[in-house]
Amino acid sequence: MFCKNFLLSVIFSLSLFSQLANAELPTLTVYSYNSFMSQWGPGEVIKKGFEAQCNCHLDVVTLGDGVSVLNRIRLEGDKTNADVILGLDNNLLEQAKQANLLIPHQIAKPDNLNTNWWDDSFMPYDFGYFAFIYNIDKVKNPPHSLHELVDNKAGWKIIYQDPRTSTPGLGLLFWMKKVYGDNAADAWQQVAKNTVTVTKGWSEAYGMFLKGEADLVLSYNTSPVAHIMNENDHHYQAAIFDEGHYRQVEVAGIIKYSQEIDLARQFLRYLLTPEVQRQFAEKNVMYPIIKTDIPNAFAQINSVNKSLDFKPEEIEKHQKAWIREWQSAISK
Amino acid sequence: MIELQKIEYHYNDFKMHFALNIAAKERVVIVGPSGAGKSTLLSLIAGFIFPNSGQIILNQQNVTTTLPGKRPVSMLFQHNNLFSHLTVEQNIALGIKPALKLSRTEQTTIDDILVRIGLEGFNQRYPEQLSGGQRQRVALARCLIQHRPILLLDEPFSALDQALRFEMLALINQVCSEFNLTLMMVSHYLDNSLNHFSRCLVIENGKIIFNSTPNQLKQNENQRIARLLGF
Amino acid sequence: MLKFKSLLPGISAASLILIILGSALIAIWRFALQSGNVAIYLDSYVLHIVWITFYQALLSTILSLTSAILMAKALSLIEFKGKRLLIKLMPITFILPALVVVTGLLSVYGQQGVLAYLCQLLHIPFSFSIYGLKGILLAHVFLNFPYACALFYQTLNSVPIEQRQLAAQLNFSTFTFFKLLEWPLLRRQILPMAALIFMLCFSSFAIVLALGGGPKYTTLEVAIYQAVRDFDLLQAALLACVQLLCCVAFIGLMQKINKTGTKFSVTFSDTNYRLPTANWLKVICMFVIIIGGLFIFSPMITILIQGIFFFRTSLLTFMLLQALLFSIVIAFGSAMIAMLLGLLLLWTNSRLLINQQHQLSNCLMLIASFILAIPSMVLASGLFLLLFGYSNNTVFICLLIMLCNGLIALPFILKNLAMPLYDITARYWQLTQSLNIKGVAHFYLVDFKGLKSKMLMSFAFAAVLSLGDFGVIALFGGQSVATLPYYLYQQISHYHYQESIVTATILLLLSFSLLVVMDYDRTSKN
Repeated sequence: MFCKNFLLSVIFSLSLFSQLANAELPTLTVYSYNSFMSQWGPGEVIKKGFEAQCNCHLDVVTLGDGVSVLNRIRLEGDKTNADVILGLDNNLLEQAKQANLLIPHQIAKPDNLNTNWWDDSFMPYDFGYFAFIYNIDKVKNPPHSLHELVDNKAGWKIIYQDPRTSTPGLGLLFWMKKVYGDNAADAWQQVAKNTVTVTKGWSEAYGMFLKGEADLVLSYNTSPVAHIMNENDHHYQAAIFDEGHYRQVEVAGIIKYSQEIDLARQFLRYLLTPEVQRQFAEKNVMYPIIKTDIPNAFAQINSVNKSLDFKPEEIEKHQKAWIREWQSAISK
Repeated sequence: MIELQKIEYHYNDFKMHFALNIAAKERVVIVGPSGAGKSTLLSLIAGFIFPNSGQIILNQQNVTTTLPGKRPVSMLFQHNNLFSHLTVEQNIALGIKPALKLSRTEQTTIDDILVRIGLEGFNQRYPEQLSGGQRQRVALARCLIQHRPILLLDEPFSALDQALRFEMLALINQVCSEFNLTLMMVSHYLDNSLNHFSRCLVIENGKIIFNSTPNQLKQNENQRIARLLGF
Repeated sequence: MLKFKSLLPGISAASLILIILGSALIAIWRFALQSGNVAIYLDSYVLHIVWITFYQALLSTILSLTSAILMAKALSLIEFKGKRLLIKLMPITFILPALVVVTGLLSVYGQQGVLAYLCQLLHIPFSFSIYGLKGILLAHVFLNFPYACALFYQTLNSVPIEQRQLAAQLNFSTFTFFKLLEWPLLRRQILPMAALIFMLCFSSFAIVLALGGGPKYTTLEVAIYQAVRDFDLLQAALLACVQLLCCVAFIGLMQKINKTGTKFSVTFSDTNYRLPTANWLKVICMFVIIIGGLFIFSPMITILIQGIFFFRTSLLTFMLLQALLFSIVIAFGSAMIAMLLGLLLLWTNSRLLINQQHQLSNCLMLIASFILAIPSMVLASGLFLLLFGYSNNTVFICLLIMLCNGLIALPFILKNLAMPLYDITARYWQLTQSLNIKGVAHFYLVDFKGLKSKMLMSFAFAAVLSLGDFGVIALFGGQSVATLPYYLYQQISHYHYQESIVTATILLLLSFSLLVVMDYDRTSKN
């Protein structure tokens, strides 16, 4: 037993030591969500590209999703190692601001933005729209508006995500609120009639949809791009709604406790370069934030005509009440 | 009474062959080296295993394929004769019927049998509160209450000390006379206890190699067998 | 006479567990109070959740146990080829990752599943919806009943052979045999089993979210997850305490009812004797076994078939192999920790029971199963607050994950080994005392030699349990410790759905082979 303990502590201190040995170059630490660094994510290429030009070491720490990342930094407080936080979205933004974790990035707003969104503390790097995806073989006549989907004369079966645990779910909550306002509760009850299930996260919902459990699933309007790029499958399409689509903007920011603020700013600038933007388009399957060359598949999908969103302050103020409204509406 | 006709029983590669004829009220002791097939012989008669060929006639009935519960046989083992979570009374009652509720007459029967085996008033005790000898008495009481004419004992007293063993043998003899039982008992003792029996079977390698009165074992022509048993 | 020395292993293991759990909870409370966010609410919705959680857990427990007893009894009545394998593989459902379970169940019971397809072939309208309470119960029974069944089957088989033969001679019917002989043996296992299943269902999370069909059927664990995400840490800690209280109350109740009365002498005999069974009963048993077997294995078989169908060698990437390796390392590490803690606890537990200290023994077992009642989100956050200085160190994260998984596997190890260890210790108690066999020698000569195959089996079980774990890794790990389930989630989140089925298949095969290899009996007789 003692022997084992001893062995473990040796391994432990060795690995600590090896980390120290690396520490001669300045290190920039980025906190991001899991899928950023995964085999199919954009992280690896971005890391290599940035290290080639910054004369530094880029350390990417990944955790669950955007909320986990934010909470991790909140837990760590002023002892955090993070210099940059990457992967929050416009709906989480106000929470992060209130936690007082960031300093302004001081990057000038580019003129070639793809969508009209800019913020002093958070720099956007890609965006997309929430949308319902269907299989064209199974749904011949998809809904053309949110109202049509909610009234659901055709009896489409719907899967969406829980707004309490997932970003798209929260997006739908705001989307419904934007379109229905005070009548949202009634609309939710209407939706509940044809809801197959409400899942914890996007993965479960989309998996069930691909298994054929539902006609429509809440996802992003760019989801068909992935099917086209991965397996050249053109069967999936986003239903485009007349009321417009709720917009999600993914953002990055500089942590105020950072010792490497210049390096952090350099990294954010790097995110806006065309080659990185293309990485986001390809691997995150989202629209790049600046106008740049994107894969052909994007041209083959239905585009969104009108974008919707709430101001971050409004979200912060009402989010809990709206979630409760949804909860009680569909628990009836 | 007990008739085994050309019984063949195969256990993996071990082939056993038994032929036997025992009259009613005989008291038979079975001895032999361990692993020779003594317990197998009892299991065949009791119906826990079935022969590959041959016939078993008990009490003038062909029972070759009859299930154990339907045979005129009751049996006592070396261990685990009693259900440790049931009382003495309940354990005995199971010999009457497989349920725990007793009628008044059944209750009286049990009290009587307890008197006969010398355990009066032990009704509500649990097996773990009894000595080894007392436990075997209770198990014997259950055999008696079953009223089956054949009693099989598989080394039931091996765990008891010598005085107690003779005491139990005496009790067995007494109840056998009283209830007109035919007795077959496996034993590994070759002492005076053999004199309690009217016949002795020696089994070696799955065959009966000696079948006569215990006294005959001391005759010259049976020297090889006596040596095998360690006389 | 109870010596302090024999108490020490159990007490130290129990205090270690208490310290880990306690400090995690306290860390959260402290942080929450410091950060000034003290919004707590115990409104009607919370009460509603508590009630729903309790209700579904109770129903799931009852259903799982009834079907387990039925199936175990059926298995004990008839003999057929492959029975041993069936029983060994059954508990695998208990340890599958939630996503695999949901996928598997959907491919059988879903709108496009095998069942729907069969109905279509036979022109029967298929109107079964797996979502809602039905789905939750189905999934919970699917997860828990095979494990309980395998355990009950062992118990049914432990009736001594002489007593079986006696029962045959006394003309017991199958029912009487069950009532008089098997039930008293089973009874001492049913209530602890009920407590375990109840706790697992009470803190069920991903399955309830996926199949519950919305917030109508949700659990306390979900509410806690929600609170942690909203950074209402005080609320989370409060709800965690509510959950802990509910579970402890239920276990306490079970222990109260489950008075360990008379002792049983259980022998492990090679030869077996089966009570004669009526033919109509055999037919019913066969029917029960076929239904049960299909229920357990059809979801897994559909996954396997799909996995083989989608398999291409190009999928065997370096990342996949790395994930495989990480999974195996972590699984074995966790199993070691669980085994070590479990044996320490059981060492003391056996000696407490021999000295008639049932109260203390219950206490010890209760502490060991606390971990199941504490939401993993709260535990992870708490541990993180305490230890985040090391959170970038891969080895440290590995150890932490092993510890967490080991703690989670601990209750199952106890369940598998508590009775056998007690029985064997008690059986040779006087003998070992007189021969002065103590301590390590006792463990090696009596416990280990006597129960080697059972211990190996429990080890494999703990390993497979943490093989399928996703939760803890997701909270700590990040990409530095990517295991198979983690890899699987990654694949799905990047629209590689078919590849993810291949990963699920690999995970399944790995678990299968672990259970089979560990069960391989080296001392097999002819």
